[in-house]
Amino acid sequence: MIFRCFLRSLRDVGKDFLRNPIYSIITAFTIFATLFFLSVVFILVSNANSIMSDIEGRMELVVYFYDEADAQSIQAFQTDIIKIEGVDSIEYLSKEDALNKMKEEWAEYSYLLDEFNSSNNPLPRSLIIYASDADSIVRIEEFIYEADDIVESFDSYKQIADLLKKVSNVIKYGGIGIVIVLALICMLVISNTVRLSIHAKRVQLDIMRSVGAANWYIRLPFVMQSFIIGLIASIGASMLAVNIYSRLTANISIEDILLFSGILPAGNITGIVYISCISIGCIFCLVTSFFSTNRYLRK
Amino acid sequence: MIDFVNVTKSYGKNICALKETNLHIDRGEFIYLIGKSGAGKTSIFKLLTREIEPTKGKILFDGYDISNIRKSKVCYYRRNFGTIFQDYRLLEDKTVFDNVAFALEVTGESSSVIEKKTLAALNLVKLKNRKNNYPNELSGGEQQRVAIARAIVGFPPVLIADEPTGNLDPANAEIIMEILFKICSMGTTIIMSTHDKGIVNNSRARVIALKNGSIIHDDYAGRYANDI
Repeated sequence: MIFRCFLRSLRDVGKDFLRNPIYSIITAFTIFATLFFLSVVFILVSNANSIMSDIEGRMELVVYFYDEADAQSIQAFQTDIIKIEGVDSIEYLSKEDALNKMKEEWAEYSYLLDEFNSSNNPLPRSLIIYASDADSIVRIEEFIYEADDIVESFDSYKQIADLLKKVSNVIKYGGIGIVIVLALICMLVISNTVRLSIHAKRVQLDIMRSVGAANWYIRLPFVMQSFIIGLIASIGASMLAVNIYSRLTANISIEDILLFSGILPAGNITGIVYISCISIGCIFCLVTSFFSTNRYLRK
Repeated sequence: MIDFVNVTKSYGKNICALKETNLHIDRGEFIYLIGKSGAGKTSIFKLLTREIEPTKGKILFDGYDISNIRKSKVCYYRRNFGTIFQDYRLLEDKTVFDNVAFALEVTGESSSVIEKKTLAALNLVKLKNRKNNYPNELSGGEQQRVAIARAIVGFPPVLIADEPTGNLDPANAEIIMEILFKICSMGTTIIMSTHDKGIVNNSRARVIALKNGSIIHDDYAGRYANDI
Protein backbone atom coordinates (compact mmCIF):
# COMPACT_ATOMS: atom_id res chain seq x y z
CA MET A 1 0.00 0.00 0.00
CA ILE A 2 2.80 2.43 0.85
CA PHE A 3 4.51 1.74 -2.48
CA ARG A 4 1.22 2.39 -4.30
CA CYS A 5 0.76 5.67 -2.46
CA PHE A 6 4.37 6.58 -3.17
CA LEU A 7 3.89 6.01 -6.91
CA ARG A 8 0.66 8.01 -6.96
CA SER A 9 2.37 10.90 -5.18
CA LEU A 10 5.25 10.76 -7.64
CA ARG A 11 2.78 11.00 -10.50
CA ASP A 12 1.10 14.01 -8.86
CA VAL A 13 4.47 15.69 -8.32
CA GLY A 14 5.27 15.29 -12.02
CA LYS A 15 1.91 16.76 -13.03
CA ASP A 16 2.33 19.71 -10.66
CA PHE A 17 5.77 20.47 -12.02
CA LEU A 18 4.55 20.50 -15.60
CA ARG A 19 1.60 22.68 -14.66
CA ASN A 20 3.67 25.35 -12.94
CA PRO A 21 7.43 24.91 -13.25
CA ILE A 22 8.44 28.48 -12.33
CA TYR A 23 8.39 28.11 -8.53
CA SER A 24 10.20 24.78 -8.72
CA ILE A 25 12.91 26.32 -10.91
CA ILE A 26 13.34 29.28 -8.57
CA THR A 27 13.58 26.96 -5.58
CA ALA A 28 16.06 24.70 -7.37
CA PHE A 29 18.22 27.67 -8.36
CA THR A 30 18.34 29.02 -4.81
CA ILE A 31 19.38 25.63 -3.44
CA PHE A 32 21.88 25.23 -6.30
CA ALA A 33 23.54 28.58 -5.50
CA THR A 34 23.74 27.80 -1.78
CA LEU A 35 25.23 24.35 -2.27
CA PHE A 36 27.64 25.51 -4.96
CA PHE A 37 28.95 28.18 -2.62
CA LEU A 38 29.19 25.62 0.17
CA SER A 39 31.16 23.26 -2.11
CA VAL A 40 33.56 26.05 -3.09
CA VAL A 41 34.14 26.97 0.58
CA PHE A 42 34.67 23.32 1.43
CA ILE A 43 37.20 22.85 -1.40
CA LEU A 44 39.10 26.04 -0.49
CA VAL A 45 39.25 25.20 3.21
CA SER A 46 40.28 21.59 2.50
CA ASN A 47 43.09 22.79 0.27
CA ALA A 48 44.19 25.40 2.80
CA ASN A 49 44.28 22.75 5.54
CA SER A 50 46.21 20.39 3.28
CA ILE A 51 48.76 23.05 2.37
CA MET A 52 49.09 24.04 6.02
CA SER A 53 49.76 20.45 7.04
CA ASP A 54 52.38 20.22 4.31
CA ILE A 55 54.01 23.48 5.33
CA GLU A 56 53.88 22.84 9.04
CA GLY A 57 55.65 19.58 8.34
CA ARG A 58 58.51 21.54 6.85
CA MET A 59 60.44 22.95 9.71
CA GLU A 60 62.65 25.16 7.60
CA LEU A 61 63.61 28.80 7.24
CA VAL A 62 65.35 30.47 4.34
CA VAL A 63 67.62 33.44 5.16
CA TYR A 64 68.56 35.89 2.38
CA PHE A 65 71.80 37.88 2.73
CA TYR A 66 72.55 41.36 1.52
CA ASP A 67 74.66 41.45 -1.66
CA GLU A 68 77.17 43.65 0.28
CA ALA A 69 77.53 41.19 3.16
CA ASP A 70 81.07 39.78 3.32
CA ALA A 71 81.80 36.08 3.17
CA GLN A 72 83.41 36.03 6.62
CA SER A 73 80.34 37.44 8.33
CA ILE A 74 78.18 34.94 6.56
CA GLN A 75 80.50 32.10 7.63
CA ALA A 76 80.39 33.30 11.23
CA PHE A 77 76.61 33.45 11.04
CA GLN A 78 76.52 29.85 9.87
CA THR A 79 78.88 28.71 12.62
CA ASP A 80 76.77 30.38 15.31
CA ILE A 81 73.40 29.30 14.03
CA ILE A 82 74.28 25.61 13.93
CA LYS A 83 74.98 25.77 17.64
CA ILE A 84 71.38 26.74 18.44
CA GLU A 85 69.42 23.89 20.03
CA GLY A 86 66.96 22.41 17.57
CA VAL A 87 68.86 23.18 14.38
CA ASP A 88 69.26 19.89 12.55
CA SER A 89 71.30 21.09 9.57
CA ILE A 90 71.96 24.05 7.30
CA GLU A 91 72.51 24.37 3.56
CA TYR A 92 74.27 27.35 2.03
CA LEU A 93 73.28 28.41 -1.51
CA SER A 94 75.46 30.76 -3.48
CA LYS A 95 73.90 33.05 -6.10
CA GLU A 96 74.80 30.49 -8.78
CA ASP A 97 73.37 27.61 -6.74
CA ALA A 98 70.12 29.55 -6.23
CA LEU A 99 69.79 30.22 -9.96
CA ASN A 100 70.40 26.55 -10.85
CA LYS A 101 67.88 25.41 -8.24
CA MET A 102 65.24 27.75 -9.60
CA LYS A 103 65.87 26.52 -13.15
CA GLU A 104 65.31 22.95 -11.89
CA GLU A 105 62.02 23.91 -10.17
CA TRP A 106 60.68 25.78 -13.17
CA ALA A 107 61.35 22.77 -15.44
CA GLU A 108 59.87 23.49 -18.92
CA TYR A 109 59.66 27.21 -18.07
CA SER A 110 63.37 27.43 -17.17
CA TYR A 111 64.13 29.01 -20.56
CA LEU A 112 62.77 32.22 -19.04
CA LEU A 113 65.85 32.33 -16.80
CA ASP A 114 68.41 31.80 -19.56
CA GLU A 115 69.20 35.51 -19.81
CA PHE A 116 70.59 35.53 -16.25
CA ASN A 117 74.23 34.71 -15.62
CA SER A 118 76.92 35.45 -13.01
CA SER A 119 77.10 39.16 -13.92
CA ASN A 120 73.37 39.94 -13.68
CA ASN A 121 72.04 37.22 -11.33
CA PRO A 122 69.38 38.93 -9.19
CA LEU A 123 69.03 36.07 -6.71
CA PRO A 124 70.69 36.61 -3.31
CA ARG A 125 72.93 34.25 -1.37
CA SER A 126 70.81 32.23 1.00
CA LEU A 127 70.96 29.81 3.85
CA ILE A 128 68.36 27.08 4.37
CA ILE A 129 68.01 26.13 8.03
CA TYR A 130 66.32 22.81 8.91
CA ALA A 131 64.78 22.80 12.39
CA SER A 132 63.61 19.83 14.43
CA ASP A 133 60.42 21.39 15.89
CA ALA A 134 58.25 24.52 15.94
CA ASP A 135 59.73 25.80 19.22
CA SER A 136 63.23 25.80 17.71
CA ILE A 137 61.99 28.02 14.89
CA VAL A 138 61.12 30.71 17.44
CA ARG A 139 64.69 30.63 18.84
CA ILE A 140 66.18 30.67 15.34
CA GLU A 141 64.01 33.63 14.32
CA GLU A 142 65.21 35.58 17.37
CA PHE A 143 68.83 34.92 16.34
CA ILE A 144 68.12 36.02 12.78
CA TYR A 145 66.53 39.29 13.93
CA GLU A 146 69.81 40.13 15.74
CA ALA A 147 71.83 39.64 12.54
CA ASP A 148 70.08 42.40 10.66
CA ASP A 149 73.43 43.81 9.40
CA ILE A 150 73.88 40.89 7.01
CA VAL A 151 70.39 39.40 6.74
CA GLU A 152 68.13 41.21 4.30
CA SER A 153 65.07 39.06 4.89
CA PHE A 154 63.97 35.55 5.71
CA ASP A 155 61.09 33.22 4.92
CA SER A 156 59.72 31.01 7.58
CA TYR A 157 57.24 28.33 6.61
CA LYS A 158 55.75 28.78 10.05
CA GLN A 159 54.96 32.39 9.20
CA ILE A 160 53.44 31.29 5.93
CA ALA A 161 51.50 28.57 7.77
CA ASP A 162 50.22 31.12 10.32
CA LEU A 163 49.16 33.46 7.54
CA LEU A 164 47.48 30.63 5.68
CA LYS A 165 45.69 29.61 8.86
CA LYS A 166 44.30 33.15 9.22
CA VAL A 167 43.22 33.18 5.58
CA SER A 168 41.69 29.74 5.95
CA ASN A 169 39.77 30.85 9.04
CA VAL A 170 38.47 33.92 7.24
CA ILE A 171 37.31 31.74 4.34
CA LYS A 172 35.87 29.12 6.70
CA TYR A 173 33.96 31.43 9.07
CA GLY A 174 33.08 33.99 6.44
CA GLY A 175 31.95 31.19 4.15
CA ILE A 176 29.88 29.58 6.90
CA GLY A 177 28.26 32.94 7.64
CA ILE A 178 27.29 33.44 4.01
CA VAL A 179 26.10 29.83 3.71
CA ILE A 180 23.88 30.33 6.79
CA VAL A 181 22.33 33.43 5.22
CA LEU A 182 21.82 31.59 1.92
CA ALA A 183 20.37 28.60 3.81
CA LEU A 184 17.83 30.87 5.54
CA ILE A 185 16.86 32.30 2.17
CA CYS A 186 16.51 28.74 0.85
CA MET A 187 14.31 27.83 3.80
CA LEU A 188 12.05 30.79 3.07
CA VAL A 189 11.86 29.96 -0.62
CA ILE A 190 11.08 26.27 0.02
CA SER A 191 8.52 27.22 2.68
CA ASN A 192 6.87 29.64 0.31
CA THR A 193 6.80 27.14 -2.54
CA VAL A 194 5.18 24.55 -0.27
CA ARG A 195 2.63 27.09 1.02
CA LEU A 196 1.75 28.15 -2.51
CA SER A 197 1.35 24.49 -3.53
CA ILE A 198 -0.89 23.86 -0.51
CA HIS A 199 -2.97 26.92 -1.36
CA ALA A 200 -3.30 25.85 -5.00
CA LYS A 201 -4.46 22.40 -3.91
CA ARG A 202 -6.60 23.39 -0.93
CA VAL A 203 -9.82 21.88 -2.34
CA GLN A 204 -8.03 18.59 -2.99
CA LEU A 205 -6.43 18.65 0.46
CA ASP A 206 -9.75 19.41 2.18
CA ILE A 207 -11.30 16.43 0.41
CA MET A 208 -8.37 14.26 1.41
CA ARG A 209 -8.78 15.24 5.05
CA SER A 210 -12.53 14.68 4.98
CA VAL A 211 -12.25 11.16 3.47
CA GLY A 212 -9.64 10.17 6.03
CA ALA A 213 -6.32 10.35 4.17
CA ALA A 214 -3.43 9.77 6.55
CA ASN A 215 -1.29 12.79 7.44
CA TRP A 216 1.79 11.22 5.89
CA TYR A 217 -0.10 10.74 2.61
CA ILE A 218 -1.22 14.37 2.57
CA ARG A 219 2.31 15.51 3.33
CA LEU A 220 4.03 13.13 0.90
CA PRO A 221 3.73 15.00 -2.45
CA PHE A 222 5.07 18.24 -0.97
CA VAL A 223 7.97 16.55 0.77
CA MET A 224 8.74 14.52 -2.36
CA GLN A 225 8.62 17.60 -4.54
CA SER A 226 11.12 19.41 -2.29
CA PHE A 227 13.33 16.31 -2.07
CA ILE A 228 13.49 15.91 -5.86
CA ILE A 229 14.26 19.61 -6.35
CA GLY A 230 16.94 19.39 -3.65
CA LEU A 231 18.45 16.27 -5.22
CA ILE A 232 18.65 17.76 -8.71
CA ALA A 233 20.03 21.07 -7.44
CA SER A 234 22.64 19.42 -5.20
CA ILE A 235 23.84 17.07 -7.95
CA GLY A 236 24.14 20.05 -10.31
CA ALA A 237 25.96 22.19 -7.75
CA SER A 238 28.47 19.51 -6.78
CA MET A 239 29.08 18.55 -10.42
CA LEU A 240 29.81 22.16 -11.33
CA ALA A 241 32.12 22.71 -8.35
CA VAL A 242 34.05 19.49 -8.97
CA ASN A 243 34.26 20.15 -12.70
CA ILE A 244 35.69 23.65 -12.22
CA TYR A 245 38.16 22.39 -9.64
CA SER A 246 39.29 19.51 -11.88
CA ARG A 247 39.93 21.86 -14.78
CA LEU A 248 41.82 24.29 -12.54
CA THR A 249 44.09 21.66 -11.05
CA ALA A 250 44.67 19.99 -14.43
CA ASN A 251 45.59 23.12 -16.38
CA ILE A 252 47.30 25.48 -13.99
CA SER A 253 50.19 23.34 -12.61
CA ILE A 254 50.32 25.27 -9.35
CA GLU A 255 52.83 22.94 -7.74
CA ASP A 256 55.33 23.86 -10.43
CA ILE A 257 55.15 27.47 -9.39
CA LEU A 258 54.61 27.47 -5.68
CA LEU A 259 57.09 26.28 -3.09
CA PHE A 260 54.59 23.93 -1.51
CA SER A 261 52.62 21.14 -3.05
CA GLY A 262 49.72 20.60 -0.65
CA ILE A 263 47.05 21.17 -3.32
CA LEU A 264 44.61 18.27 -3.26
CA PRO A 265 44.17 16.35 -6.51
CA ALA A 266 40.61 16.50 -7.84
CA GLY A 267 40.18 12.76 -7.38
CA ASN A 268 40.79 13.06 -3.60
CA ILE A 269 38.01 15.54 -3.09
CA THR A 270 35.34 14.56 -5.61
CA GLY A 271 33.67 11.84 -3.54
CA ILE A 272 33.42 13.93 -0.37
CA VAL A 273 32.02 16.94 -2.24
CA TYR A 274 29.34 14.85 -3.95
CA ILE A 275 28.31 12.95 -0.81
CA SER A 276 28.24 16.03 1.45
CA CYS A 277 26.49 18.25 -1.06
CA ILE A 278 23.79 15.76 -1.98
CA SER A 279 23.16 14.67 1.62
CA ILE A 280 22.94 18.22 2.92
CA GLY A 281 20.75 19.36 0.03
CA CYS A 282 18.28 16.48 0.31
CA ILE A 283 18.06 16.46 4.11
CA PHE A 284 17.65 20.23 4.24
CA CYS A 285 14.81 20.17 1.71
CA LEU A 286 13.11 17.21 3.42
CA VAL A 287 13.18 18.83 6.85
CA THR A 288 12.08 22.27 5.65
CA SER A 289 9.14 20.93 3.64
CA PHE A 290 8.16 18.59 6.51
CA PHE A 291 7.82 21.51 8.92
CA SER A 292 6.13 23.71 6.31
CA THR A 293 3.38 21.12 5.78
CA ASN A 294 3.02 20.70 9.55
CA ARG A 295 1.43 24.12 9.80
CA TYR A 296 -1.36 23.05 7.45
CA LEU A 297 -1.89 19.69 9.13
CA ARG A 298 -2.12 21.23 12.59
CA LYS A 299 -5.37 22.92 11.56
CA MET B 1 -24.35 4.69 17.34
CA ILE B 2 -23.63 8.37 17.97
CA ASP B 3 -24.10 10.03 21.33
CA PHE B 4 -23.55 13.64 22.32
CA VAL B 5 -23.39 13.77 26.12
CA ASN B 6 -23.74 17.29 27.59
CA VAL B 7 -21.65 18.70 24.79
CA THR B 8 -20.80 22.40 24.93
CA LYS B 9 -18.68 24.15 22.34
CA SER B 10 -17.48 27.71 22.86
CA TYR B 11 -15.29 29.83 20.65
CA GLY B 12 -13.51 32.30 22.92
CA LYS B 13 -15.39 33.86 25.85
CA ASN B 14 -18.40 35.25 24.02
CA ILE B 15 -19.47 32.76 21.38
CA CYS B 16 -21.22 29.58 22.45
CA ALA B 17 -21.98 27.42 19.39
CA LEU B 18 -23.54 24.53 21.36
CA LYS B 19 -24.90 24.50 24.90
CA GLU B 20 -25.09 21.27 26.89
CA THR B 21 -26.37 19.31 23.94
CA ASN B 22 -27.60 15.75 24.39
CA LEU B 23 -28.28 13.75 21.29
CA HIS B 24 -28.60 10.10 20.36
CA ILE B 25 -28.51 8.84 16.76
CA ASP B 26 -29.16 5.21 15.86
CA ARG B 27 -27.65 3.31 12.98
CA GLY B 28 -29.61 3.67 9.75
CA GLU B 29 -31.48 6.82 10.77
CA PHE B 30 -32.21 9.71 8.43
CA ILE B 31 -32.00 13.02 10.30
CA TYR B 32 -32.70 16.55 9.18
CA LEU B 33 -30.69 19.15 11.06
CA ILE B 34 -32.43 22.49 10.73
CA GLY B 35 -31.88 25.97 12.10
CA LYS B 36 -30.80 29.45 11.10
CA SER B 37 -27.18 30.29 10.28
CA GLY B 38 -25.17 30.26 13.49
CA ALA B 39 -27.57 27.85 15.22
CA GLY B 40 -24.86 25.22 15.62
CA LYS B 41 -25.42 22.79 12.70
CA THR B 42 -21.91 23.02 11.26
CA SER B 43 -20.44 22.79 14.76
CA ILE B 44 -22.21 19.46 15.23
CA PHE B 45 -20.69 18.17 11.97
CA LYS B 46 -17.22 19.40 12.91
CA LEU B 47 -17.45 17.89 16.39
CA LEU B 48 -18.59 14.58 14.96
CA THR B 49 -15.66 14.39 12.52
CA ARG B 50 -13.19 15.57 15.22
CA GLU B 51 -12.28 18.70 13.31
CA ILE B 52 -12.87 20.50 16.58
CA GLU B 53 -13.15 19.24 20.15
CA PRO B 54 -15.92 20.00 22.64
CA THR B 55 -15.27 22.53 25.39
CA LYS B 56 -17.24 20.30 27.77
CA GLY B 57 -18.95 16.94 27.51
CA LYS B 58 -18.12 13.98 25.33
CA ILE B 59 -19.04 12.43 22.03
CA LEU B 60 -19.37 8.67 21.70
CA PHE B 61 -19.16 6.79 18.41
CA ASP B 62 -20.26 3.17 18.78
CA GLY B 63 -19.67 3.61 22.52
CA TYR B 64 -16.11 4.93 22.15
CA ASP B 65 -15.23 8.44 23.36
CA ILE B 66 -13.75 10.07 20.27
CA SER B 67 -11.69 12.55 22.29
CA ASN B 68 -9.50 9.58 23.24
CA ILE B 69 -8.44 9.12 19.62
CA ARG B 70 -4.84 10.24 19.10
CA LYS B 71 -4.33 13.06 16.60
CA SER B 72 -2.33 10.80 14.31
CA LYS B 73 -5.22 8.29 14.20
CA VAL B 74 -8.07 10.76 13.60
CA CYS B 75 -7.76 10.23 9.85
CA TYR B 76 -8.75 6.57 10.30
CA TYR B 77 -11.76 7.58 12.41
CA ARG B 78 -12.88 9.98 9.64
CA ARG B 79 -13.18 7.04 7.25
CA ASN B 80 -16.46 6.31 9.05
CA PHE B 81 -17.91 9.42 7.43
CA GLY B 82 -18.75 10.47 3.91
CA THR B 83 -19.28 14.19 3.43
CA ILE B 84 -21.38 16.00 0.84
CA PHE B 85 -20.84 19.74 0.52
CA GLN B 86 -23.23 22.38 -0.73
CA ASP B 87 -20.67 23.54 -3.33
CA TYR B 88 -19.94 19.94 -4.49
CA ARG B 89 -16.11 20.46 -4.24
CA LEU B 90 -15.23 18.40 -7.28
CA LEU B 91 -11.73 18.49 -8.76
CA GLU B 92 -11.99 20.26 -12.11
CA ASP B 93 -8.96 18.56 -13.65
CA LYS B 94 -10.23 15.03 -12.96
CA THR B 95 -12.97 13.09 -14.74
CA VAL B 96 -16.12 11.93 -12.97
CA PHE B 97 -14.55 8.49 -12.48
CA ASP B 98 -11.29 9.95 -11.12
CA ASN B 99 -13.16 12.30 -8.77
CA VAL B 100 -15.00 9.39 -7.19
CA ALA B 101 -11.95 7.11 -7.24
CA PHE B 102 -9.91 9.82 -5.50
CA ALA B 103 -11.61 9.06 -2.19
CA LEU B 104 -10.30 5.48 -2.36
CA GLU B 105 -6.87 6.33 -3.80
CA VAL B 106 -5.98 8.47 -0.82
CA THR B 107 -6.79 5.61 1.56
CA GLY B 108 -4.43 3.28 -0.28
CA GLU B 109 -6.86 0.93 -2.01
CA SER B 110 -5.61 -1.20 -4.90
CA SER B 111 -6.53 -0.31 -8.48
CA SER B 112 -8.83 -3.31 -8.95
CA VAL B 113 -10.83 -2.53 -5.80
CA ILE B 114 -11.00 1.15 -6.77
CA GLU B 115 -12.43 0.33 -10.16
CA LYS B 116 -15.09 -2.02 -8.78
CA LYS B 117 -16.26 0.26 -6.00
CA THR B 118 -16.18 3.41 -8.14
CA LEU B 119 -18.33 1.86 -10.85
CA ALA B 120 -20.75 0.59 -8.17
CA ALA B 121 -21.05 4.07 -6.66
CA LEU B 122 -21.57 5.69 -10.09
CA ASN B 123 -24.20 3.10 -10.85
CA LEU B 124 -26.05 3.97 -7.66
CA VAL B 125 -26.23 7.65 -8.63
CA LYS B 126 -26.97 6.73 -12.26
CA LEU B 127 -23.90 8.41 -13.77
CA LYS B 128 -21.99 5.41 -15.08
CA ASN B 129 -22.38 6.65 -18.65
CA ARG B 130 -20.79 10.01 -17.74
CA LYS B 131 -17.70 8.60 -16.08
CA ASN B 132 -15.30 10.08 -18.62
CA ASN B 133 -16.78 13.58 -18.51
CA TYR B 134 -15.29 16.47 -16.55
CA PRO B 135 -17.23 18.41 -13.88
CA ASN B 136 -17.62 21.49 -16.09
CA GLU B 137 -19.48 19.31 -18.60
CA LEU B 138 -22.13 18.36 -16.02
CA SER B 139 -25.20 20.16 -14.66
CA GLY B 140 -25.44 21.18 -11.01
CA GLY B 141 -27.56 18.17 -10.16
CA GLU B 142 -25.14 15.80 -11.88
CA GLN B 143 -22.19 17.34 -10.10
CA GLN B 144 -23.91 16.83 -6.75
CA ARG B 145 -24.57 13.20 -7.68
CA VAL B 146 -20.87 12.77 -8.39
CA ALA B 147 -20.17 14.27 -4.96
CA ILE B 148 -22.60 11.77 -3.40
CA ALA B 149 -20.88 8.92 -5.23
CA ARG B 150 -17.52 10.09 -3.86
CA ALA B 151 -18.96 10.29 -0.35
CA ILE B 152 -20.37 6.75 -0.40
CA VAL B 153 -17.75 4.95 -2.50
CA GLY B 154 -15.99 3.67 0.62
CA PHE B 155 -19.34 2.55 2.14
CA PRO B 156 -19.01 4.64 5.28
CA PRO B 157 -21.57 4.00 8.04
CA VAL B 158 -22.44 7.72 8.30
CA LEU B 159 -23.12 10.28 5.59
CA ILE B 160 -22.95 13.97 6.47
CA ALA B 161 -24.74 16.19 3.98
CA ASP B 162 -24.21 19.90 4.50
CA GLU B 163 -27.10 21.51 2.58
CA PRO B 164 -26.69 19.24 -0.44
CA THR B 165 -29.68 20.75 -2.26
CA GLY B 166 -28.82 24.35 -1.43
CA ASN B 167 -27.64 25.20 -4.97
CA LEU B 168 -30.17 23.09 -6.88
CA ASP B 169 -33.56 23.65 -8.42
CA PRO B 170 -36.53 21.69 -6.98
CA ALA B 171 -36.44 18.99 -9.66
CA ASN B 172 -32.76 18.20 -9.11
CA ALA B 173 -33.22 18.51 -5.36
CA GLU B 174 -35.86 15.80 -5.53
CA ILE B 175 -33.50 13.50 -7.46
CA ILE B 176 -30.80 14.04 -4.83
CA MET B 177 -33.23 13.27 -2.01
CA GLU B 178 -34.33 10.05 -3.74
CA ILE B 179 -30.70 8.94 -3.93
CA LEU B 180 -30.09 9.82 -0.29
CA PHE B 181 -33.15 7.90 0.89
CA LYS B 182 -32.06 4.92 -1.18
CA ILE B 183 -28.61 5.04 0.48
CA CYS B 184 -30.25 5.28 3.89
CA SER B 185 -32.40 2.25 3.14
CA MET B 186 -29.17 0.29 2.60
CA GLY B 187 -28.21 0.92 6.24
CA THR B 188 -26.25 4.17 6.10
CA THR B 189 -26.99 6.79 8.75
CA ILE B 190 -27.58 10.17 7.11
CA ILE B 191 -27.44 13.54 8.86
CA MET B 192 -28.47 16.33 6.56
CA SER B 193 -28.57 20.04 7.28
CA THR B 194 -31.02 22.07 5.25
CA HIS B 195 -33.01 25.30 5.04
CA ASP B 196 -35.49 23.76 2.59
CA LYS B 197 -38.87 23.51 4.34
CA GLY B 198 -40.43 21.71 1.40
CA ILE B 199 -38.00 18.82 1.55
CA VAL B 200 -38.33 18.43 5.29
CA ASN B 201 -42.09 18.57 5.35
CA ASN B 202 -42.46 16.16 2.44
CA SER B 203 -40.49 13.28 3.88
CA ARG B 204 -41.53 12.83 7.54
CA ALA B 205 -38.07 11.85 8.79
CA ARG B 206 -36.60 12.77 12.19
CA VAL B 207 -36.11 16.52 12.51
CA ILE B 208 -33.69 18.10 15.00
CA ALA B 209 -34.09 21.84 15.24
CA LEU B 210 -31.36 24.06 16.67
CA LYS B 211 -31.64 27.61 17.94
CA ASN B 212 -28.78 29.59 19.51
CA GLY B 213 -26.78 26.45 20.18
CA SER B 214 -29.56 24.43 21.83
CA ILE B 215 -31.81 21.67 20.52
CA ILE B 216 -35.30 23.06 20.75
CA HIS B 217 -37.07 20.37 18.82
CA ASP B 218 -36.38 16.68 18.18
CA ASP B 219 -39.29 15.02 16.45
CA TYR B 220 -39.19 11.55 14.97
CA ALA B 221 -41.90 12.46 12.50
CA GLY B 222 -41.04 16.11 12.35
CA ARG B 223 -41.98 19.05 10.33
CA TYR B 224 -40.13 22.31 9.64
CA ALA B 225 -41.77 24.56 12.20
CA ASN B 226 -42.29 28.23 11.44
CA ASP B 227 -40.51 29.50 14.53
CA ILE B 228 -37.11 28.12 13.53
